Amino acid sequence: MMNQTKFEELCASFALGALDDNEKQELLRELEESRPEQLETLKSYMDTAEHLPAGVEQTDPPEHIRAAIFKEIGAAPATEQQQDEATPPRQIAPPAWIRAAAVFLAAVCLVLLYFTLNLNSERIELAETVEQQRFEILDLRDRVQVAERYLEIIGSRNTYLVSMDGLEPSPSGFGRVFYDPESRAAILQVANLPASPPDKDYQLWVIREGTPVSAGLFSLDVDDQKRYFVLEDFFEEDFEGVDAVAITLEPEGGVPQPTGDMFLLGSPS
Amino acid sequence: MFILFALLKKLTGDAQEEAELLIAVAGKDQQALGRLYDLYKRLLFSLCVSILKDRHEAEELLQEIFVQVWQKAAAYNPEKGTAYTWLVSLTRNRAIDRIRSKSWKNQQITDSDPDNKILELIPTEGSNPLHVTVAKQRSTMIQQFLNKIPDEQRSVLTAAYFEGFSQSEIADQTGLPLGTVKSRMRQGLLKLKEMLSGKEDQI
Repeated sequence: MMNQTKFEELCASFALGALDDNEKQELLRELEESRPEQLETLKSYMDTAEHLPAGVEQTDPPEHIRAAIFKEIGAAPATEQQQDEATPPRQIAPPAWIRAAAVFLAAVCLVLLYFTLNLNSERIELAETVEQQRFEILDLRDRVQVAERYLEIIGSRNTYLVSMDGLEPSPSGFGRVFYDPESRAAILQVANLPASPPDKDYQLWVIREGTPVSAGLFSLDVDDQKRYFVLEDFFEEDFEGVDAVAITLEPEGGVPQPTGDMFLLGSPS
Repeated sequence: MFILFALLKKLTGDAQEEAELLIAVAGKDQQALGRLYDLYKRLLFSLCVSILKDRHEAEELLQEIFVQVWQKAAAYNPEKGTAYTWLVSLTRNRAIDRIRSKSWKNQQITDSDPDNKILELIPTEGSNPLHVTVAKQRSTMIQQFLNKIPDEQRSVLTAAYFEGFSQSEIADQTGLPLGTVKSRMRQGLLKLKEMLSGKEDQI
């Protein structure tokens, strides 16, 4: 193996293109048994020599050379300006298949978007329908429960019935009370009464031996509404000796003794 | 340091672009040839003028070189070197052939050529990106570096690289001992390398 200086002299001469064939063969034999760092040494000399063309005085060729080149290769000569204008579109313009794929994907996205929006609209409508039907079911269930309770109370062996007639404020009004002493529950039915004002409640009274006892409060939000109310624990005492049942309009929350106008009044049959 | 990294990135990107241009030329992309011509016309024409010492001949040669690039770009292998190296080598060889009155055909590198075998041994990865592209702004600086190299060393570098003389021919022409020519070549390149290493962030 030759010494490092001689090896580097061969590398420098090779990088400058100054070796004859015998010297190239000598370098090749050395490199075939070389270490990686020797190859790197050769490479560094070649890298350095590559800078030499930039070291000469720089000068531009005449313009007609460009046209002559393109004429010789059989192409229309393009000016530098045309190249600058033409190059960017070539670099950014995608191939036809990419454009077609993009159009196809855009169409698919639009279709999917349409179906998604449509499905979402249908979903909202269905949700509203389900919610509305849920309320209807709850209302029906309440009505069924009231009806069942109504049937239980009026079907009881010892049920009392009190019919009430309308008085001056609402002569067409009427009401009924069905009282089951076994369960101490009652059904109150009212009809043709005016809606209760916001600061007023209707109050039900049981009058026994001339003394009115409050049996509960209710309100009506619509005129002439027919309503049924289930009154649990309606009256704890024996219903014997009850003189009458009445409904008055009282301040909101009720009063211990009747003070307002009496709308309905009736006696047990 | 930031500027150096940015420059390295830019130059690496330029080298990649130049390699892609050559590949596109191999695919008969005329716009790529035009772009490559715009990038390299000044450097290669200057190299031709420097070697041939005749502007008219240099014009003819530049035209021949780019026609050859159009015809032979498929021979370029980006794994074996940069577009810069390929184009500069092609131009230098053609120019030296011309002054030696040899045809290009007789000088084509073959598989048995020791140049080719030596080049195949050199690692291609880890190339300094500063060396692999046509960096226009470095010309003035490298001229200054060459001027700082002692005359006796610069003259042998020039005789070898720009005139195509072998070290033996230089020794014969100058009357210098062959060992002296070899030593000056090595020392001249080492000085250039040293200056480049110290200023590579400005190249």
